[in-house]
Amino acid sequence: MSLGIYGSPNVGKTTLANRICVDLAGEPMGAVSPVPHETRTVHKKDKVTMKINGYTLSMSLLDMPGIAVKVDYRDFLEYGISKEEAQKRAREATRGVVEAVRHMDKVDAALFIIDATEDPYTQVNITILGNIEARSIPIIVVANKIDLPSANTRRVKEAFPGYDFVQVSAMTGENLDGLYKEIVSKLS
Amino acid sequence: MRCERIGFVFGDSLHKCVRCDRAAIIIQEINDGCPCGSKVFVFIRDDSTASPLEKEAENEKSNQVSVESPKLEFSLDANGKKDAVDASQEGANGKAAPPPEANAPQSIEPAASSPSAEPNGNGKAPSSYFARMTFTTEDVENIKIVTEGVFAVDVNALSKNPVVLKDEEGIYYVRLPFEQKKK
Repeated sequence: MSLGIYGSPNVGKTTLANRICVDLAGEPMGAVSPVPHETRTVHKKDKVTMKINGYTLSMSLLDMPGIAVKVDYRDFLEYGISKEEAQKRAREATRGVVEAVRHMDKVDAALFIIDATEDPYTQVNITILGNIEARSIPIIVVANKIDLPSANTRRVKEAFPGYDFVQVSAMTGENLDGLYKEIVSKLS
Repeated sequence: MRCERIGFVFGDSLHKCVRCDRAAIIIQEINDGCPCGSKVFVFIRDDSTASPLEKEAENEKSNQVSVESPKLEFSLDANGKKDAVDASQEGANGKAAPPPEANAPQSIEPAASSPSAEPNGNGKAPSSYFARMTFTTEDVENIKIVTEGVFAVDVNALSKNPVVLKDEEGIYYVRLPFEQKKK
């Protein structure tokens, strides 16, 4: 089975994917960067195996490009990227958004990552969750960045009350076991 | 020369008859027609009154002419005879640059109709216009803003992708699909 990691740019999708891959497959998945849209193509890691409470779940993990409704090359300029490179990055990032949306028809389950320090009521969050649900794909909403003082997991949970919910810090690894248990119980 | 003929003007702008090149003196002439019988006038706008968009379009046009014309330029001598002048040779011979009048639209028109400048001649849109109108495999967007109020749509791509619009600056806007669960 394949598990897609979805969410807006810079919510910690690749950090979480790396943490899961290191824990369960022994090596990271992709590069992490403070620059938005660092992941611009779908990254896949096969043979990621979880063994929890006597259950074994083997799957392919897919780290999706961040989904956004506007990709502005000017956002990259502040990171010292040249205009030409920024425009190229914007094009690739937009292609990544399209690819991520199209992959919704290919994944068997989804982790939907939300930055717990940000307002969860966004057009992207609501639309993507709606699209995944419309395909009857099992979803776990993951509130990430709980290690940061401004994290508000309650707000995330209240925003999307109908979904299975886990709060983690992909950066520190806090409550990753809780996430693994939720994945296995949901998908096995 | 131009000032002597200006009658009905807005600043330095004027309406010229396309047949006899005479400037309209009163606005009634534009309604009734030129004394030569033609009813078609072309409005020649003073640069200072052109909108930024028009100026940009004009700059683009003149830039393309200047890129394409160095190989072969045409000028009219006193007898109206058309001479082909190799601009690069002229430069090499150290001749003085032509007076500003030589860069006026009258001298550009023959150059634009030369084979090297054909894509821009005869009122055709510049090639960059068509480049914006067409879609390649490199393009992510399925809608392009060609110019203000003019859009190009890649219908094939629209049928299987989210709507992606790219504006003139290269900023992308994505309309995510919104599917609702079937009950």
